[in-house]
Amino acid sequence: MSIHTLRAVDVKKTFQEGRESVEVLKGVSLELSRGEIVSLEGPSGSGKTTFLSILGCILSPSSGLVEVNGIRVDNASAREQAAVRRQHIGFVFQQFNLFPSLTVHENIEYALNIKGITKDAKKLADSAIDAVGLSNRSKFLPRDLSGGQKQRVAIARALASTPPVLLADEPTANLDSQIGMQILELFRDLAKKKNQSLLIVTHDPEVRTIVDRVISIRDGLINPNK
Amino acid sequence: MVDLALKSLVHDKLRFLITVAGVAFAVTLIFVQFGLFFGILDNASLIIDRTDADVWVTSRNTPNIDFAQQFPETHVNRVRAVPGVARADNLIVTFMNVSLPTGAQESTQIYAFADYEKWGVPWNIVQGDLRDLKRGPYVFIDQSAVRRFGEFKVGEYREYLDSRLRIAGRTKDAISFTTTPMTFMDFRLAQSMQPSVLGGKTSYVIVKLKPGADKTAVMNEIRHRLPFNDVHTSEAWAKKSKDYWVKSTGLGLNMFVTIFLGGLVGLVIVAQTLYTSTMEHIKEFGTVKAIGGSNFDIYKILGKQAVIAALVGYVIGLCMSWSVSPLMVGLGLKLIMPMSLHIYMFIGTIFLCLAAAVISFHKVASIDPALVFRT
Repeated sequence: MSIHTLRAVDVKKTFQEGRESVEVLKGVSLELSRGEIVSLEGPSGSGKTTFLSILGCILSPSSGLVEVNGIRVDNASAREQAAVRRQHIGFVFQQFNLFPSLTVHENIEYALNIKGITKDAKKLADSAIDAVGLSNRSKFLPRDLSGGQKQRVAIARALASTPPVLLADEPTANLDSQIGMQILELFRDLAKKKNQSLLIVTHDPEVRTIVDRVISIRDGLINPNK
Repeated sequence: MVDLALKSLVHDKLRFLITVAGVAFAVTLIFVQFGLFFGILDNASLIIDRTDADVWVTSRNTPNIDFAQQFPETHVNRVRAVPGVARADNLIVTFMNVSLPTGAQESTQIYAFADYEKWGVPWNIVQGDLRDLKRGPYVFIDQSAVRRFGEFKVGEYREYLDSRLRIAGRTKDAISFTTTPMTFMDFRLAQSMQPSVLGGKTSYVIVKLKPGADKTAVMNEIRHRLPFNDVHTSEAWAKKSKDYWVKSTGLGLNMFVTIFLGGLVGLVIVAQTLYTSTMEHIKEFGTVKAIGGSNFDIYKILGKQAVIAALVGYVIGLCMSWSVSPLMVGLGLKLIMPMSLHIYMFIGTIFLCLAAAVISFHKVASIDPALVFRT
């Protein structure tokens, strides 16, 4: 059994754009231990979101090895990938991606339902909302929340089922820096408490102050100088 | 369990309203069209359905009850002699001209039974005593004739061909397919008014069988004794009369085209609104996939939304159709919507909406969950 919750070895990804092949990832490797908080930095177009998508079982690599919580996923079918996402991964997106017609509580409960949790979904949603300090907003619709509150809901949604791996894509990009850092610290603390691994993709240098380790990616390769 | 399908549908109230309105109007259109069709067809066999007869003897190749041909009235005696026949009577169906007080001429359809009391026609007498028809040159006119004849009262006279006939009573609901007003008179009176055409003739022989009689055997025996006539059961004769109008007038084709277009309009509206809604919520569906949901989870959402739209649209459409019914009656039209139509329409509406959702299914199947990372 792997000690790493996330492991990528020599991952390459090539996209076909018309007649041209664009190699976005040129052999990227990464290991994340349980409870470790890591940021993945890089400029726009460096391949960090593509790498996150591969680690999150949303994209398949062109070559290389990827393991999520000990399960090899680089050659997995779409159905197997969906099962891994359901059971082992929690996502936080830059655009929050909350369901606008569902209340805060329902957003979290619905995500738990999708993950096959129905019986304890209400209780788990309650405690996740409580953990992010939004108990008094649980019946609010996303449109009635501030950006920071929306991101807290997104974090609660990712944490609610306690997946071993948490992946966050530019979680502070749509927030002002002070609120963004408060939320990230909350996210880190909650992940640490449950011993969950957290990979934060960002181009915000402030993020490096709260993580255990920083990985930099440039032109599809890990930058060894950073 | 959180019901994203319902919440999402109701959240976008305007779109939901448009979808439901599309379904409701399609349902109303089809219901009313079917209702009118059944109503008109009901008129095509109304007298057959209302006459308490088991078997009708007609002249050869008579296409429907309105277009009657004559044959000797004495044939009724051959029919009466057939074992199993309880009673048989002559019936004349013909058209005559009526002179109105305004000087105008109108056509009327004459039903002349030899014995009204035995056969249950006319069935809805508003005024008058049916036995009066035997007592002289009297007629009963259906009150639907007011549209064509103008107001008339019992006790007044109208000139039928060259004879002044007294209006002895009014009936209700006796409407022919051709919309020609119906007049009921005695069989002999009808014969006497057109002796060259109707003298010694009848249009039909109507037959009531004895209880337990073998209908097929009786009909075969009548055919044997009247080889130049046609013999029908009441049901077959009613169907033949209806089929004539459906097939020979384009009524059936018109009905089919309208219903097809109604269904198509409903399908397109629902498909379009569902598809647009799917496209607008594509990122939400991408999120469902990103957090581990399958295509089937999204199909369930779309399918449920289609079914909800179908149910609400059906109920509203049904209410609209019912509310149109009094209006139709005011226009002299009948709207007949049997329970079987309700059931078929319900199933059809659900099917139509699910079919409309299939286009969205196709779109959803190709959603790339990676779109959740795009800004």
